[in-house]
Amino acid sequence: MGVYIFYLFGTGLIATSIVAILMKNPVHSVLSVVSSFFFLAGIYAGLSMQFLAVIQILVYAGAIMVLFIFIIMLFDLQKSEYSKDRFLWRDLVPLALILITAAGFISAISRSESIKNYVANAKLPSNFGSVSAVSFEFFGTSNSVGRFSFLFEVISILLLSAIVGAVVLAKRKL
Amino acid sequence: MAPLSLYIMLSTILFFIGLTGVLVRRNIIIMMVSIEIMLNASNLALVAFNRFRFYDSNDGMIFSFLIIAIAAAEVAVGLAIVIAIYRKKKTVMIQDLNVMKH
Amino acid sequence: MIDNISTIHFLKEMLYLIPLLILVFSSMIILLVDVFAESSNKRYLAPLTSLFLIFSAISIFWLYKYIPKSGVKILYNMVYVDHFSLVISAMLIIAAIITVWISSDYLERYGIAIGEFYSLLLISLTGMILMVSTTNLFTMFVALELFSIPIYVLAGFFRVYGKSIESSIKYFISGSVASAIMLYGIALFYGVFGTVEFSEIERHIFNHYDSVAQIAKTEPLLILGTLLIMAGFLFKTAMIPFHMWTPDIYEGAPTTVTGFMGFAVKATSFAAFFRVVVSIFNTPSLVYSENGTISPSSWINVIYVLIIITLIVSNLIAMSQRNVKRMLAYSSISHAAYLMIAILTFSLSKTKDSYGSLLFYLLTYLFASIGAFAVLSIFEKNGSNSVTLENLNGASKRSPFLVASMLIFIFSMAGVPPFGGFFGKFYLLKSAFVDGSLSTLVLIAVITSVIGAFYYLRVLVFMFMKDVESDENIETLNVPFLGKLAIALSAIAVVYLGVFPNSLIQFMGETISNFFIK
Repeated sequence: MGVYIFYLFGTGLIATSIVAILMKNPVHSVLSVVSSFFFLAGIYAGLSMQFLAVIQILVYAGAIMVLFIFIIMLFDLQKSEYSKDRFLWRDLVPLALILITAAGFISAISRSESIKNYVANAKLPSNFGSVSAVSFEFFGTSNSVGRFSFLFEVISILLLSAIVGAVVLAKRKL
Repeated sequence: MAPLSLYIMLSTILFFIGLTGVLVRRNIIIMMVSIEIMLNASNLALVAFNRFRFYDSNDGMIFSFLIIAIAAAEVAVGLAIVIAIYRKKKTVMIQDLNVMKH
Repeated sequence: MIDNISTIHFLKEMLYLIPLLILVFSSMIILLVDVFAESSNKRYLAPLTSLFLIFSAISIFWLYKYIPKSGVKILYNMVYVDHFSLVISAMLIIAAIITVWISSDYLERYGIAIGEFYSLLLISLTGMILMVSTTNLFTMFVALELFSIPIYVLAGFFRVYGKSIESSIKYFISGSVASAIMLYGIALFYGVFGTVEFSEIERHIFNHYDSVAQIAKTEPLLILGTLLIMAGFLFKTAMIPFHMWTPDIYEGAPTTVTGFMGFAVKATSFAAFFRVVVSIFNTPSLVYSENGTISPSSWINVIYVLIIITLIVSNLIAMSQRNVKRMLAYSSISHAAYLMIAILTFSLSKTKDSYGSLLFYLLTYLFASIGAFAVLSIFEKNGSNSVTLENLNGASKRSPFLVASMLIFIFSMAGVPPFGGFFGKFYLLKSAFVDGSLSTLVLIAVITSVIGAFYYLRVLVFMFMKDVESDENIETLNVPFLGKLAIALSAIAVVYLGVFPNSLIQFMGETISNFFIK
């Protein structure tokens, strides 16, 4: 059963991602990526990462991608504008390079021993992928500090700099 | 459950779809969307490895959370730059930006 | 697995990060001061920022005495502070101080002297220092983003000029792609080993694999991961063919920012790459084949070829540039190739002679490159945000001081004997030559640096030529005090490095040899 769900979501993921990079209209492209992120969230849930799946939908599809849509709406792009982006023959060079590299990657993955080497149907820890696991890793317990609390702080500074930067660049008058 | 190799192949394909988007498209917004696809490919690989091989810790999942936060910051700044460009040049095409040519 | 550490202990370990903490808090203080101080005159911001930077530098000197030579791993092995990271941090802070001094007047001329500039500069510096003081691939990635995002904004800081914002978006796209590629490499390393800690990865590779051929057969993911991480670094250090938009980025960004990112991004990426090379890539089974020779599919060969391409192409293109900022961009690409030679020498040689060359070269490049961009920022015509060779006409009449210092910086970058750059190049190439296997590379480097001298000297020729404008309508440039101080100090430093290089080279060598204390 789980296998078929994976196949379904995996096919959907690839199809919507390809559509996303093929679309001329950026709105279509972004909407396609939003749906691909829903498929991805489904795959996460199938890997028993429920909390990550929720965050993927809430933050990624719900906030980040909606930000894209807001910006595109703000511009009110005309068809004459975005249809200037068309496929050129010289794009075949990067395309061919990518196909070759991708083929190399796929063959490497099929040969890799560490990928073959895993315990199927392993017994997971009870809190695997849950909110409590995340909170433990980030914030620790009442008398210890979480392992990733430092990176959590660093991310907060990163977000601060992003806010300042976005204001500096997009404010009408400084 | 599907084998790990399928998950990793899925993530690789996703990664290369994103890379193709960046290299072939000229619309800045779609290039940024493609970068998001690349980041998600890494997330998928991290999560799959975590679930199948290193399930006694949560490292891969925590990395994915942090990457989502980083992607949010990156998108905020990137879109602010795009707004500034659109105000100045009324375009979102990278090929229209060539004030500086040799 | 490490035991959980208590809150008090965590806070104590944070003390090792005191230079970073000072930078983070001062960036916030500057934002607040900027908001709440009513005055429209923002002249106090630059001295305030440099005061904080000096505090941070002092704390680095204090830490240098305090920590053991083998360094300390803190915060669940997320951060690793050692003498190497402190030396690089000190260089980065010096670069930031010079940039702040120059920028104060520069921003005022463009009418956007606001606190956000300094705040973003400090946050970016924080990320750089964090990136060089970690032995954890994931912390490294987060730090990479932490320093890149403010730099994207700083490159587009003159958003009213099309060029600046164009440079910003180009930097943003190429930088984000680079970090996404590197991230995928990190994910593959995580997938193979289940850890992103350098020392553990090294131990795993050492214990489980013998040669490149064996790795390629059983664990090709490892080779892919190596290549992807390397590609990320090559993007960041702008080696050809990963340079794509580097000249555009350098030309369009505000000149003082160009100076800062030209040195600091490069130094940070090289220092971090050096750490990765020393800890992971240099493991014998990733370099050598079974019979002890360098394997043809090793990462070393990729770098070797790229260095040759970079040296030749960058120097040839630089010759045809009329825009000085663009020319210096190509020159910085060729400097990246030299730094790569230092890393290659280090991983191939068995002797200790090559240890100091990377850090010493970075030090000479710091003063020469930031100094040159500082001079350009003053010569720049208002509103154009670029300097062509013609703009420099008659410069020797307008400001002899600036021309004299530019002479020193240019000579140093070209590698003319009495200045720091010469000794940087000399030691680097000498240690590469002694090692033997790199002698072809050294030959190409010497030939291309002779070609390079031609376009460097062209700048000087234009500066001393004055036949285009007649003597009356040349107005003298008045150089602001802080700018004069910064340029003078950089020039003195370049001369000092050229006259007394030995003690510093020895010091740098010792810093690197601390890596091998277990």
